Amino acid sequence: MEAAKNYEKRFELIEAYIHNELSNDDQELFDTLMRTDEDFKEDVEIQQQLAAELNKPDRLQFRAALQHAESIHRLETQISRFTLPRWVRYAAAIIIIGAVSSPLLYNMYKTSPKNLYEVYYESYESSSVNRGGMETTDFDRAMEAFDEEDFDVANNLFTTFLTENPENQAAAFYKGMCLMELEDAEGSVHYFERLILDANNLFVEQAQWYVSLAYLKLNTPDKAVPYIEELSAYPNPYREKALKLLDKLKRL
Amino acid sequence: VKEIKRYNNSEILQGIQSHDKAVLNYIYSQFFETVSWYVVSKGGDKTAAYDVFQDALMAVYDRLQTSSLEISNSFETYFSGMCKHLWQMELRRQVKARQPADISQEEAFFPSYMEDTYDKEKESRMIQESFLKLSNDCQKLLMLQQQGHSQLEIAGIMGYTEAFARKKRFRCKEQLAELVKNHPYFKKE
Repeated sequence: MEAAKNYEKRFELIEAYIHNELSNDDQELFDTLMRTDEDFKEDVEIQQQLAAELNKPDRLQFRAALQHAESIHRLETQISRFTLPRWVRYAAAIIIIGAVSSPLLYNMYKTSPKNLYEVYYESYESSSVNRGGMETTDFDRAMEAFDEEDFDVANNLFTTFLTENPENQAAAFYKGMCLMELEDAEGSVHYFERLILDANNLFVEQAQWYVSLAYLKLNTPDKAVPYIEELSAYPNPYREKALKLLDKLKRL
Repeated sequence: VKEIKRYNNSEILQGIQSHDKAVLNYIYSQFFETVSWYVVSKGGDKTAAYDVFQDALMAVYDRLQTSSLEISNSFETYFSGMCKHLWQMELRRQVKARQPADISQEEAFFPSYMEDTYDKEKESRMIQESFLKLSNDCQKLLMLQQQGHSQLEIAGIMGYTEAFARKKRFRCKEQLAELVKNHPYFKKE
């Protein structure tokens, strides 16, 4: 608990310094730490640099675009350079042609909505937060359980929290995610669609993506397509995946 | 066979400016091999080549933000020249780190202001990459704070309680500091 308080005090001091809001006492503490604590000094520099970078969000977005382009190039290069001895390639080609022309194997490996769900579903990542030392709410406890992948517990806590706070959008989203993790895609749809309908929240794109996957899992791709089409139409974190998924769905 | 769409200089520059994914993929597919060949032939490896390539693209982007960029010959010639220059700077930085005395002869080629710019760009990249490794929630939260939203507003937007938003903000900053300190560009004094 002491450690948790320390990092909070540490970053509180740094924020006050950056915003020129240090009290006299805190200024003294700040100066002492700068002289004596190398780690603190590094943290100050990092937070100053972060503030400078966040003031140029377009550069950050461009960096993300570059990282994406680089990863695609790395992947494509790996695939194209995956060369085997010629006889192995011939043998592989014969096996693949045989497999594709065999109705049994074709059906086994034919893409289905459920297969696409398996390929595209990834757990939603929330950053882990140590919540020691402060007043803890059901929401905090639910998030903690979610972070620890204890989805049964998290699900129950989100249910309790939502009973008292029915309008809480974050809780609705994480409740939906808990249900996805607990293999209850049907139950999750209600929560995701509620967020999409409301539209005025930060979880719309996430909800659109995961409700699409829920519909694929439920073997109802027709219901998934409108959401995937929407995600494909404008820049958002799921667009790239949505475009690929849409392409695959069209070939079903 | 699917035909690759080719872009002219102005389309490439426009694509860089607008973060156009198709153009960025095209640049990687068309020009990376030349740069990689050069970097590897001069003592680097593929990872170093990717780093130089990204730094050069960021440099072009920065130039496009501040002024119009006229390229008299092909983009490839201009861009690979830039990559070569950046790799030479990197080699120089490595030599200087190992044997500071050996660098004096080359001083005339790379004045110190260029070195400062190069170092600053490395720091900037380190922070950007670390930030982009944070969870989406952390990225959103820190961005909202930087935009001047109050803790109460952030809590409302993110759907958190105020106390949780505060704790999460500090935890995100702590995570970022850890990521930066473990980044290969992080210099311990």
